[in-house]
Amino acid sequence: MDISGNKIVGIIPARIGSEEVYAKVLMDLGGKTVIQHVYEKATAAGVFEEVLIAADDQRIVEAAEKFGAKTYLTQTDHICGTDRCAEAVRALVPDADIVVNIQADEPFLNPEMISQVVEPLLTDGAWDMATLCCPCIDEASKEAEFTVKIVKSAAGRALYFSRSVIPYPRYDRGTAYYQHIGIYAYRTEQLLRFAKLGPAELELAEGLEQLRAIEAEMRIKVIETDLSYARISIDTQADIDNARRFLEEQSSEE
Amino acid sequence: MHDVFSKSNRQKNNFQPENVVVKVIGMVPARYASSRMPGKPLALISGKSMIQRVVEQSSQAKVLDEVWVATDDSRIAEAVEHFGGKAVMTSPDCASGTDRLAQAIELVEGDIIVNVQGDQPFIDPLMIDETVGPMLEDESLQMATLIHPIHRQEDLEDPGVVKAVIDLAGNGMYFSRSLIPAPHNDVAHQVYEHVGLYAYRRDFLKTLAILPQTVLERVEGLEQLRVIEHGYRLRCVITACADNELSGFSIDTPEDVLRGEAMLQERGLE
Repeated sequence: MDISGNKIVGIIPARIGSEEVYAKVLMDLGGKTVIQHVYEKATAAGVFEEVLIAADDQRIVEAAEKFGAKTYLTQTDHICGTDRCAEAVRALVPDADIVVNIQADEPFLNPEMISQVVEPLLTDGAWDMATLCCPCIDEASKEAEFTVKIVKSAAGRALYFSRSVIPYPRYDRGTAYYQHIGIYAYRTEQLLRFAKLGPAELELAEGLEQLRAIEAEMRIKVIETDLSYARISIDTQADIDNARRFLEEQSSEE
Repeated sequence: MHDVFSKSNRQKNNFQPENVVVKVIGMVPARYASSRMPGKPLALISGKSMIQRVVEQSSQAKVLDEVWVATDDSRIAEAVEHFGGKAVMTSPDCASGTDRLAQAIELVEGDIIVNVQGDQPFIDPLMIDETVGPMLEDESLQMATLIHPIHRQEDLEDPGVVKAVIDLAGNGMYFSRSLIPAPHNDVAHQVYEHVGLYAYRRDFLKTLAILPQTVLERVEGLEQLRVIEHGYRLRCVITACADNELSGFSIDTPEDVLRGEAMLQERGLE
């Protein structure tokens, strides 16, 4: 339990099959699997009472147990990581107050981001969830479908997430765009409510699970992070090559 | 159609406090000056002025107790009174339509105010009933507007067509000139266009007139974003109006008048 008396649990949902790279989270990255990098970053945050790996495949579970992680084998038919998290929470840690969903394919996550995403839930009872964003600096990534853009209210509440360019620059071309970073903190009851709702139309069209939460009027606080981290998520073979190069550069600098 | 909406029955509505009659008024802002068409509200469309058409169409809405024209020009006020309508004078230097509306309701009584566009002479009165409906049922709703499904492919990519996404309760999540939702996955889904017809509770209209401008509002050039950026709910009703082409037709130029007359003729209307 943390100083505020909250039980905070980290969940890393992982699946074996992804469209582009099979077993991507088990690929080797400088002598460790991708998911082990993520797990170590999560535990380094110093925020969690425990960190669990919730995977849909026995091979991930076995690999995770080898590096000492607590694991849970989930159903294979979840449509998103949040549903997978919810299943693991219900089974293993229903007494958690706050759950953080950490992407299994982001090996270079900055552990401080975990403290940042949890903070709004500790300080303001009105928020149901929290997530992070960073300014989207170059034009090409702003236009890209894989860059998820956020629009937020004056109070920092997420209004909508889209792969389209939002806001549309009708009058002010110099405006700031915010790129979503896929890490979420939830109050446990909201996470379980989320899973019970089932997929919604906007979520399915955009392929963005977080829209289900907004459609259900959940209040998501969006924190603009100023922390730097190598934003390499492992989706393709090219990504893993990139990540390996990045690791080598890092170690040669040290 | 909806009995709960009709004036005589509104008092019996269980959702409203007993014996309180909610007065609903239509307010049509009508400026004389127009860069492309000075005196636009008085332009004749098939022999009848645009402003008279708007007032007559709106007056058929079941929910409206009165329809008023808010204008900065005595020629328009006189024309309105001449055909038996009600006019209220506002200052010529209102910053926006919302400002003009806020000024007008200082002079006219009403609990819910529907902002009827003065340049849409063929508005379907059903749309006014639809917009106000949820506000009569749910006292906590401060504002409502309309959306309709987009059917034409070219509208999807047109930044002039404003798209709306709504939550499960029907509240607007966001409005954009970009295509939302983005069609990332090949699944059936509906895209909605926002129809600029608004109903407000009186006090909220006053609040809205003094709320500062917001970032997204400015960038998209969409005033309705101010409401949601400040954290208020904006209920969106999906209209059942079938002829959106006619009911949403706006007149900005003399050529539009000719097109409008042709649309009436095609439909056998006067």
